[in-house]
Amino acid sequence: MKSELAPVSFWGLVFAGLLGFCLVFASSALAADGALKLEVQLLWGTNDSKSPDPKHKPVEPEVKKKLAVLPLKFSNYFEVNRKVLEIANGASRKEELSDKCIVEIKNCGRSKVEVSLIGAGQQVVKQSQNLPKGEALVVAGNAPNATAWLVFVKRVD
Amino acid sequence: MMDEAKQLELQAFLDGELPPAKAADWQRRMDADPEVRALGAQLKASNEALAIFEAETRVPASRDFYWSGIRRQIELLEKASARRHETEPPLSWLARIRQYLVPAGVAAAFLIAGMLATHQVRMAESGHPVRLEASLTSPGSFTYRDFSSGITLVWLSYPAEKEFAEIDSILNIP
Repeated sequence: MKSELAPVSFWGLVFAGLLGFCLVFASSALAADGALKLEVQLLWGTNDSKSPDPKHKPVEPEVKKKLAVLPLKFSNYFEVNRKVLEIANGASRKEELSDKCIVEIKNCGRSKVEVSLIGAGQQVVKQSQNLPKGEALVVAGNAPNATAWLVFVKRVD
Repeated sequence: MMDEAKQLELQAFLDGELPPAKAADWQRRMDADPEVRALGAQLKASNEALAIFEAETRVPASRDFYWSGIRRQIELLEKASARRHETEPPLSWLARIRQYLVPAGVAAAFLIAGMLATHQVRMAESGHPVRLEASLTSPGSFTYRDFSSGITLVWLSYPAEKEFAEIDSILNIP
């Protein structure tokens, strides 16, 4: 009797394992179609070691590491402002990063975002792309004295 | 050339299964027709060959008694099997669930395979440069993507050099 039950128990374990995987992937699939949590930072890129504005603080090492792979010549980046946005599927959020810099992000579903940058009342750029968890999108441009401004958008969750 | 019915009739003649009148008729045809004779000889040779290879088994009982014994044995086995099923305890709920575990496991495996495929497609979509749909309002910009780090840069030529003053206020740079 015991020997007859043993293989069935093995299949039971296999089934339980498969069910567990099922649940994990189902939850990840559902999460992918849910709300997006994004971290938006307005940065300033420069070769100077210090920012003239005491309110500016150096970017986090993780952000600096990501920026280091980009074909930019700056050795230092400073955080001007930071916002965390949670955007529901299909919804969009508009946030002011500075007096004249506004970012609008739309959650298009399936990890796809549409990032619009509005500078001085005009739309500067509208970028649409997939943004899986951990990935980042940087929209940047020239600033005075061979420096640059950067809007760093990273998907947190 | 004889048709199949005639060939079967010839076979019956050779086996001695035809009535005397028909048998006499076939005997005449064999004597007169070389084709019938040749076919008859071939069938006879085949019969002899089969007879050689068929081992004759004699049962030490009459035909009816022999077959009734086999029937009784079959009936006995069927009754014994039925009794065994009757005396077996009913399956517990756990055993009944276990019966469905294997097919359910196979179904789950298919489901996982489907979900993995979907997941892979999504991952491929997310990392594919074609999916980078840049819609730029400013000419002269470019897009750079580093796949290993998962970072995309959109570099804008905006604002132009003459508009640097605006940037100062955007970044709050003193």
